Amino acid sequence: MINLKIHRHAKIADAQKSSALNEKTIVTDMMLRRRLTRNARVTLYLADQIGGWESAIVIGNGYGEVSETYDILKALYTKSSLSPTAFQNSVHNTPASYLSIVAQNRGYITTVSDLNDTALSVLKVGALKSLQYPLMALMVTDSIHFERIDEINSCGIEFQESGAALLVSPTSEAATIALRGKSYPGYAPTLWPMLDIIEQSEALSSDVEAIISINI
Amino acid sequence: MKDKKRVYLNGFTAACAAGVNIEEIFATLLAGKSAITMREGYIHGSSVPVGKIPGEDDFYQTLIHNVAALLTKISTLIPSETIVLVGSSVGGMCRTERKFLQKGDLSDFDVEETSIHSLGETLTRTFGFKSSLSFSTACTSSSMAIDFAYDLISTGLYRSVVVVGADELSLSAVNGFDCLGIASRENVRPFDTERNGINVAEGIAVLAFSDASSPECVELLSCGVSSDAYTITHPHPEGEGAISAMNMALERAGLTSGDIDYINAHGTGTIANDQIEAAAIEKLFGSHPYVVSTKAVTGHTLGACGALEAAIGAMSILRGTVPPCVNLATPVNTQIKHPFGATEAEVKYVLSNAFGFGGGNVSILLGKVSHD
Repeated sequence: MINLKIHRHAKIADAQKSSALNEKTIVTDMMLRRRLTRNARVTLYLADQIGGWESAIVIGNGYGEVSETYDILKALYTKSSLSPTAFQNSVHNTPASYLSIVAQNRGYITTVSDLNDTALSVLKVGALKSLQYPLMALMVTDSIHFERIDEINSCGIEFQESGAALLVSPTSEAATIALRGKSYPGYAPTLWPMLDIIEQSEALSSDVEAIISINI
Repeated sequence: MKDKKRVYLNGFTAACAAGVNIEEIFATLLAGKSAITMREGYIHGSSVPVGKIPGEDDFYQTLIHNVAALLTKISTLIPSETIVLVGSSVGGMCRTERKFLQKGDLSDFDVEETSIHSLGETLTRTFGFKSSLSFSTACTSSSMAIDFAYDLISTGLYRSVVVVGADELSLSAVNGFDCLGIASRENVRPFDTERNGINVAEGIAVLAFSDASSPECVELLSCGVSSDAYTITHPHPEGEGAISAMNMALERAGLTSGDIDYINAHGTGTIANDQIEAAAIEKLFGSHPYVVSTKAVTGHTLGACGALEAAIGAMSILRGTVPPCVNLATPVNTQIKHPFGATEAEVKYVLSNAFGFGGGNVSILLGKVSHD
C-alpha cells in the first residue's frame, strides 16, 4: 500500500464538447491549438486547474482518441486518403504528448488504458512512481463524442466529454478517505474512482487533508 | 525505502515476421535475412513491404500460445501472484477494422474486444493472472511496461511480473505511416544514407521478470524515461530526450557509457530518427559499443518493439553474439560502430532504445549475470 496526499483536484464534464476549457489562454500558439484533440484539450485544462505542468504525469483514457479513430476508419472504408493529422492524433498518448509540448515538460509522462479500470491503473502507476517523483499529476480523460456515438453508447454515458485530475505526493500519514467502488451514472466508468476520491476530498472538513491508500 | 531488490529476466518468448519463437528470430537476425515481404491488401491499389508473423493463426491466439509457452518454460511462475503488464499501441484495432470494413457501420462494435485493455483482459481470463495493467504510449508502450515492471519488483511489491508487448499489423498503422510519408516502399535501411522510412510490422514478445535469478537469465539493471517536449512526430533535433533517457539508464545502473557493449537502437529507418539517434549515441558513447537496428529484419513492431528488442538484447548477452545491421551500405554516421555481420563478443551490458510518437523516450539497460 502506498499513501498519497491529495493537494489539488479538478474535474470537468459536458454533454458533448466543453466550452470552458480555456484553450486560448493555455495554448497561445494558434497552430498548435488547432491541432489539439478533445482529450488533449481536457487534459491541458485539468493540468492548468491542478498546477500539474512540471510534475511527473500519468494520464489515462479508456477509449482513446475516438473521433480521430473514426475518421481513419471512414477513410479506410471509402478507400480515400487518411488525414495525417488524424493519424498522428489517434494514438492513446496524444494528450500526454501535447501536455509535454505545451508545458515543456521533459520528465516522466506516461499513458495507461484499461477501459473501466483506467482510473485504478492511473492511481496504481502514480502511487508507485511517486516514490521516485515526489509530485505527481494523475489524470483521466475520455472525450467520446463523435458523429455516431449514439450507435455505440450502450452504457448511456451522458457526459461525453469528461475528465478528472489529482495532484498528489507520497506520505506516511494515515489515510483519511478510501475507494468505495461507487458508481457515477452518466459519467464514463473509466473515471469513477477519480470522481470518488474528489467527492470525498471535497466533503472533508478544512482541517483534514485528503489522503488515500492505493493497493498495487 | 528498503534496499532495492534485483530484477531478473528469467525467460521470454516472441513471435514476429522473423520467426515464431525467439530462437528462430535470433537465428534470422544472425543470418542477416530481412523477414519483410511485399503484400497486397494493406494500401489501396499497391503492394507494400510489411512484417507479418508466419502462419494463419489469429493474433490473440498467437499471443495466448506465446504466454502458455513461457509459463511452461518457467514452472516457478505462479499466475495468481503475478501481474501482467501490457504494452500496445493499437490493441484490438484490427478487430475494429474487420468489423467496420464489412458494413461501414458500428453495429457489431464491442469496446471490450477492441480496446487496448482487451489484450491484458484476455490473458488474465485465460491464465488466471492476478491482474493486468496496460500502457499505450505508441512505440514506447512495452518499454514503459518494462520500466514499471522494474519498479514493481525492485520495490518488493511483486516477486514476479510478466510483460507483454503486442501489436497486430493494422490497416490504420500501415496507411497512417504511409500518409505521413514515412512508410518505405522498399525494405527498410536503418542508419543508411539512402534510408527512406519504416516497414510497419506486427510482433509479440512476452518477458518474465522476477526477483530471483535462474540458470539462464539476464538482469534488468535500470530504465531511463524522458520526453522530448518538441513535436508530435519529429524527435528533438539535438536528441535531447534520447540523450536524457540513455543517461538516466546509465546513472541509475551506476554504469558509464564505456561499459556498454551493444546498443539495440530504435533505428526505425526514418530520415529524422536515425540521424538524430546516431548523433545522440555518438555524443554519449563515441565509437565504443556496437550499434544495431534489428528493425531491418523484424520491421517496426510499434508498441511491441521495446519488449521484442529487450528479448533480442538478452539473447545477445546469453549467446555472446551481436546481430548485424542489415541493409546498411553507407552509414549516416561514420563515428559509431555498426557490425556488418554477426559478431561474436562478450556482451556484458546492452542498452535498448525505444522512442515514440509524441516524443517519449525509454532506454532499458540489461546486464549479464555471473553465476560464479
